[in-house]
Amino acid sequence: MKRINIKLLLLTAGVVSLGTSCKKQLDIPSRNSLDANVALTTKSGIEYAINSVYSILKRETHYGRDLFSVTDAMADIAFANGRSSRLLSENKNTSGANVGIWAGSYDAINEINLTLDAYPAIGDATAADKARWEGELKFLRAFYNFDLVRNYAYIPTYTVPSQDKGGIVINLQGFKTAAAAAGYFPSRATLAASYAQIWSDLYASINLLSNSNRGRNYASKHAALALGSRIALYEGNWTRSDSMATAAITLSGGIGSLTNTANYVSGWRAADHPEGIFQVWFATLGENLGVNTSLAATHTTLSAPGAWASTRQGQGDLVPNGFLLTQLGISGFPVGLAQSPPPPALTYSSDIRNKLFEWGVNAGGHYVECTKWMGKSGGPNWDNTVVLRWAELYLNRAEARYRAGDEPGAWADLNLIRLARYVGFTVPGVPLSGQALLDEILKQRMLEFAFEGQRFYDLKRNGLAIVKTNPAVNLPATDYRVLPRIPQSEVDGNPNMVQNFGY
Amino acid sequence: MRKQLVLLSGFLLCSILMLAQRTVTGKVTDDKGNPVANASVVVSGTTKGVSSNADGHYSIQIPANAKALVFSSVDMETQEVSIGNQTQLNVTLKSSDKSLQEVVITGYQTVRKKDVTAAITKISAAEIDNLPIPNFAQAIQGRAAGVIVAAANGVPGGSLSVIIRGVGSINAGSTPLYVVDGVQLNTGTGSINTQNNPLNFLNPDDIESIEVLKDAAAASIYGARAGNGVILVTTKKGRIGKPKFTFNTYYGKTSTLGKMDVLTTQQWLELRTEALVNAGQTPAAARTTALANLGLPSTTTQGKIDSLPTYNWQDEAFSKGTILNAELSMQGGSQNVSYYLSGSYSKNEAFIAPTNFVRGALFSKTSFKVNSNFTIENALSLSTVGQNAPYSIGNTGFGNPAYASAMILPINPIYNPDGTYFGLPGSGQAMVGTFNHNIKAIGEYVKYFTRTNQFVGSLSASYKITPEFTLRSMVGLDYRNTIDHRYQDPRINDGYAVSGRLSDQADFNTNFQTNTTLNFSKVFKTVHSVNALAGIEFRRDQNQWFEADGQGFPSYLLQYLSAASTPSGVSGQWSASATFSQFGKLGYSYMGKYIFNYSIRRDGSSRFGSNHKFGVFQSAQFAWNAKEESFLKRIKFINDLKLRYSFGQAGNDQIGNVLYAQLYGATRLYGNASGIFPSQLGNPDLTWENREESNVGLDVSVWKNRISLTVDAYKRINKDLLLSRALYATTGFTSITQNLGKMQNTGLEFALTVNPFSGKFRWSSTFNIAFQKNKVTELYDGLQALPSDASIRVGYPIGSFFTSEWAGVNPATGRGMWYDINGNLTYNPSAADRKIIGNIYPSKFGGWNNTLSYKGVSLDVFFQYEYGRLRTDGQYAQMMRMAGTTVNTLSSGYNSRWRNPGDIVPTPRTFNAMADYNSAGWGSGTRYIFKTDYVRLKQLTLGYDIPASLIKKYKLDGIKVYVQGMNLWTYSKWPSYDPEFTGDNYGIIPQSKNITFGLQVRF
Repeated sequence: MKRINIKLLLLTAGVVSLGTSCKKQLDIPSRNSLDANVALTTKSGIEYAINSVYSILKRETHYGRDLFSVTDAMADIAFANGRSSRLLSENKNTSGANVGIWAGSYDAINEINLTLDAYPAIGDATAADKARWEGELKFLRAFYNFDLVRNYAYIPTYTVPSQDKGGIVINLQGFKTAAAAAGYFPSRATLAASYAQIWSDLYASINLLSNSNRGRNYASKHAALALGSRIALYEGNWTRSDSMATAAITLSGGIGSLTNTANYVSGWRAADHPEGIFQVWFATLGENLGVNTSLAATHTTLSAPGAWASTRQGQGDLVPNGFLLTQLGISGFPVGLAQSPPPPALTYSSDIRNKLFEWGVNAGGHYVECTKWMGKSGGPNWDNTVVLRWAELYLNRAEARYRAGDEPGAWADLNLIRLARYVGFTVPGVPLSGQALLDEILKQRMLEFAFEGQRFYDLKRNGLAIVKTNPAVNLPATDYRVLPRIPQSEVDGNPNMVQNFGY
Repeated sequence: MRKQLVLLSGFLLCSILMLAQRTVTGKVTDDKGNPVANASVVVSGTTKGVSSNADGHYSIQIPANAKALVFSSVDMETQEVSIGNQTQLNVTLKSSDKSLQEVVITGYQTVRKKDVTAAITKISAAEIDNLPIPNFAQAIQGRAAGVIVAAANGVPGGSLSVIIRGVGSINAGSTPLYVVDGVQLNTGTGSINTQNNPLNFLNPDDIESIEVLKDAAAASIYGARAGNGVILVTTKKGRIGKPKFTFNTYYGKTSTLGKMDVLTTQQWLELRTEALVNAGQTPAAARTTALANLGLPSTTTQGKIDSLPTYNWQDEAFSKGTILNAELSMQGGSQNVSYYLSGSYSKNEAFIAPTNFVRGALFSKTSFKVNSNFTIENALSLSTVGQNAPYSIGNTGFGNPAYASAMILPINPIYNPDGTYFGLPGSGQAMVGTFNHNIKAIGEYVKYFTRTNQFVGSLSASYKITPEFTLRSMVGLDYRNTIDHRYQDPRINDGYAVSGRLSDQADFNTNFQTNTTLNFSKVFKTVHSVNALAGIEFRRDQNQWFEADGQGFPSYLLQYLSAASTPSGVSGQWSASATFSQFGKLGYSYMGKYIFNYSIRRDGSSRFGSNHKFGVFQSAQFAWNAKEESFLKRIKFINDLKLRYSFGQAGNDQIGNVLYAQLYGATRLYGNASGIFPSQLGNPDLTWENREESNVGLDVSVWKNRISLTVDAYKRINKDLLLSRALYATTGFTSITQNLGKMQNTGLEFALTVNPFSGKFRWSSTFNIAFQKNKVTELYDGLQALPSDASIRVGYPIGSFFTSEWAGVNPATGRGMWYDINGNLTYNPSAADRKIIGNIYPSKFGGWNNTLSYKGVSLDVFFQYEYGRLRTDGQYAQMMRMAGTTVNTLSSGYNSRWRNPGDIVPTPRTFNAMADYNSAGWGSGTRYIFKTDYVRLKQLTLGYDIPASLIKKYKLDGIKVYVQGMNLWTYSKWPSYDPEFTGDNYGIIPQSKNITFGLQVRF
């Protein structure tokens, strides 16, 4: 019996000691993620946090593809050929087929807000560091909010009052606790309040950032001015659009310059477009979105210019439709667009821009495809996305000047672009005026930015219908499908939130 | 006189000596009169024993004081026979299939079946022997009432979903806890290539029994890991006797259960033209486009069109696979050592090449009796599994033959006339259509290979401190290393542009555990039987992986990273969790009549927040063996009658690690630099999901055990669900894991065994059925539906479909229609038109097993069935694109499509890009949701035992030959390949039909 007691005693002692050491064993923090208490306490922490905000722009839903390709598929210039069954519903303007940037954009905005809260406490940062941080973050907040508002709400220059449900959710706080997040029932700000917040951020970034800052891959004063000219144009603030564009054009030490007929094509073949003022940078090969959804894969099957007879590279899902090809001055393609091999030679007008359109590889037929993205950064599907470039400054200003009644100013900017794009262009003796002048500005805008995600907004903000013959679509600007559905989960259970009309 | 006395005493002495060492002989037979070989014959109270020979004879020398002999054999009731002064004892052993003396393993303990108070189903080796399946969990399918086993697909050794008594959680896992010989298994998987089920390490033929702890009370002793039930696996062990060998092999083929009829080239051209015309093109333009889609000039004549070939890609892709299994085991033992050793090789090829499964496994289990009080046991299982992975699993990759083969345009040849593959990139040839990858070439060229090396082992020591107290300590290790090699050959479409692409990954999983238990067992005053258990346990799981990717290979012959010109990515992570537990159990039985059990476990887990790291789980169980009451003892036709009630708690901790912490992730990149971002909001209150369950059970057996029935009814409530609570995305987060909500499962389980014939002709039939109902009973904030998933609604089951109902085709226009919420027809159903349609879990399911034997011939017939489950048929939907895009389509759709006003048909008019003008998508709502109901002849085995008399001279104990078929017949109305899968059925390898021939030799 005595022996047993000793054993039991030993056992008890063992259990107790094991129990004590095990409590420590139950504390296993993450080794892959940083504890939130230390993440934003250093200079590099802030830099990395800002990188994350930029990185969201690379997503397929944003400038990886959708803000260009989904919107162009919805507009009147493109045909989704169904080669990989992508973008078909968008091309037919099916209800619910639209951009989906809601969650990603608010992720970025929350990160911006958290970082704006944290950066003032960084001890070893210089005032210049802090000014740049705040400037870039505010530029990015304006940029994300503007993409949200131009998609999820009407554009102020054309609203349908009976269907107008306001602007977007303006969130200026960073969420740190579950309780704060679970107790957040946001509502949509008015359209005016949404734009006011965007302007406030954009002006701050203009004041804080240096002219070229860190170049076209990051926010800069130049980018902020260029963005400002677009925002003002959408808002119908013509003088501000004019002045912002002028400031961007005349900024010394800015980024890039306008190309002309001599270097237009080579500009598009370069990894960094010389006209780019702000681009989304896919810095490494591994960041490309791959063979299905990268911009190159979406638009072309070609591995190199002229390589229609060699191996197919991308999907080539979204191609110019007959209307756009004709406007670009291309002829020789069949009505149904799909061409049996071998494809005949195409005829090109003097518009240098049409040199970026050529026969693709045979895959259910050859199609004329857009070659603005072809793996220019050094590998298949690897391209940067130029978001703001020089030509837009002149076209924004031309339109703003026209709207403000300055037809000669508009005519001058329009011709500046046409001189840079048509080989041997001579300015007509009789200037265009009135509707004809506006139509020409919008036409140049369509040709200049084909597949760069501008056309849909140009139609939307001018109240123009989307008219396509193939697929047959006639979508008036009053149709509810012009605005996307706000994700249903954002509306469910939130009495403050209003869904867009028709959903 | 003296002489006589001497003689007499000498004689007496001799007699005594003779008595001291006398010999008893006899024959051991079973209740049919067949000899029982290898029966153990042991002198009662000693370890002295012998075995019977092949014809059942034994001969044993027994000491003078021997009173009785104990006869035992596998699956026989042990019998003690007093010797008296007999020298010949012939004994008939009763088959113990339904014996109440059978023991059941309940977790840290073994109890007699008679004393079981909870809902436990036992599956014994005989039921699952020699099934050509890589994974023992598959063997449970249809054999345990209330347990749903569903293979994710037909990938050999792939994922299985095992759900015991319904799903109890919305977001946390529903996987049961698997315990093999006391070692709790980690069921995470680490492959980026294929499904490498962690249960594959064990050859199912090494299993002695599987016990499924179904109710919370039974599982409660495993505490926080037991919320989804527990599956205990016990491997075979050696028995005292000379070494016995079993050699077993089987060989056979796997083949498809069916193919789908698709269009010829001419039919497709016609349908494509029709689709384009319906979408607004002129007939001439449509024909040009359709011809261009086939790569043909617009000038192609009708005569040329009529002579276009049609190639059958499905026939090429769906071929036959081989099954080969060979195993050898040895078992035996002496007084102090017993052992079971086995080695096996198993190969199982899917019918779609190159997907396969090859396992080599070694298993050893030894027990050393150091002295009468001290025993050491050791089990070691080593296995290596190689798997050729499919090109993609269950997604829509163009190179995936399971997905693409029926949709490649039939004008594309498979081979060139010289036998090379048609349409490879760089060849100048191009396949037309969306599916432009030569899947046969991909199958041959691509190297997707996964190697899984696994070690599961344990060492335990038990010491009998006193006859009542036993102390047992165990250490166990479950170690798994997965190596993935994913080489996209530069000759195939996906690798050509980048000159080949490679991902190599290594994943290491280490699961260490140790426990110590003290067991007490004593009978007081012959009627009060008490047993108690106390224990502590520690377990730590650690996972680490890294991956490197590269591209740009100078030749397809170079397939490893050093040859890559461009590194394209690296990644890796580390994660660990630990639990520390204390547990105890108290059992009391009064005369075997009234049985009471209580158990308690306190668990601490690293997965939970600092405020709630520990949880306590308890159970109470009662049973009444009514048969032991005197008034029932007299009633002869009732052999057993027992009533059970139990209540128990168990926890679910199947969520990720460190979900309680507020974190910044570091997985983003911009401008060659890292991006850090708030990846998770913290929740220090995060804690266990709790399961509480009441179970009422009845076991009854009548007419000499010819009919026995087990009925269980339960009500299971899961509360404090580990719920991923939706947040508005405007916060920057979409969800946070909190303990919210409640769910209820109720069910009824019947298991009926009938033995109508038990003479020379034997027939034993076991049928089970379970009825299962699930309901979400509470969410949070009074919500009636989950914001992130409107299909999760209070009052409705988890896994429900919440969508608009398909209303068929408008005979006037040929356009597809749906019902709105008021039952009116619409082309554009909206969110408000959604309603609950049904759900993805069966409501009735089970199996029916029949074993028939006559002389040496035996027949096993096993049916398995499921009713009440709905699934989206993604594969069918894709194959019903009706030439709306450039993919081939089903003949059934072609034949049943709308063409003219007035046509009353199930398939809408074909339309380029599928969705008709201003209509919802072509697959919206319930259009492609179907019942998966099926009854399947899961297994049919015909065996023949060659008579002992024929093989005796070769010193063999037995030879059995058998032929076995799996999935030979299925009743189902499922429209595409096969109804047995989980998920949405996109491009998965379907289940297969297997036929194997086997030979088993015992010597």
